[in-house]
Amino acid sequence: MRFIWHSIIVCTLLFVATVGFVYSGIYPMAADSSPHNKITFWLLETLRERSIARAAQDITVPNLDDPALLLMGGADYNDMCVACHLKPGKTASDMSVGLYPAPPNLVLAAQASDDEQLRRQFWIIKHGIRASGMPAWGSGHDDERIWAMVAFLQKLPALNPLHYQILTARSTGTGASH
Amino acid sequence: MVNFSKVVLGLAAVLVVTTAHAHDPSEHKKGAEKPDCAALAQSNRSAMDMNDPIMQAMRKQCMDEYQDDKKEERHHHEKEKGHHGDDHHAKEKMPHDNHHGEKKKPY
Repeated sequence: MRFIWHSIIVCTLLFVATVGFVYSGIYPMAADSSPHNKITFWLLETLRERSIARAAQDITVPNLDDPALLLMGGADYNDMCVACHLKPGKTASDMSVGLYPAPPNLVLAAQASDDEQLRRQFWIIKHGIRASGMPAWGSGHDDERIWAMVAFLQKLPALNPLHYQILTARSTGTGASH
Repeated sequence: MVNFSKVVLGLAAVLVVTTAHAHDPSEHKKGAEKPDCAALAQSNRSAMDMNDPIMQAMRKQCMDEYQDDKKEERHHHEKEKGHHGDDHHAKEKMPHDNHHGEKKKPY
């Protein structure tokens, strides 16, 4: 009986301390302050990755080999993503430096292009990520356009600045099917 | 009857809002940078793999651009013809008439 009372008191104290901490305003929220501590970082990253993996698990990956997808996705990438995720020949921008968490530099080949990765990228582009600066592009873009961006992302690390310029320019043919 | 009208009006409003909300690629065409196909034509083509999807996409982009330029040229030419009517003599006197030479194909 005594153990139960002790447990209740400890839980109550922890709850009061947590609420007190939240309302105290001492946790730094500025994007340019020191980064999250290891525990917060692990907690947020694990929460994010597990949530995305679960939500994206049933997405069917279409054939992304059509070169025309690179033109459609490239032009959209240049309009919507380049400010944060950069392009060949550019290593930083105001957005890439100023945002926290820092947006990944998609010019750098980081992960293998397996189906899980493709599903993850599609889901993130379509739905965005809360409190990260990543918007949900699915409200104004159909799935075909989002898959085209995913196709473009697979080739982005292999492009030089000239290839990038040609693939992302909006010529008459680009996006004409929309 | 009133309810049906409301539903139709509501659907129309949703359609209008959805259309306006979508990111239309044509919005970005005006003032958009043209692909630098001339620089690609000058680069070392022997090192390029023509079966590579990146290469194929660039070729498609430059061919589209080439077709577009030709279409624009033709349109410009026809517009000029229209300005000068059917007066062939007047057309012959145009100083810039020979400036519309065929553009070289990018590939």
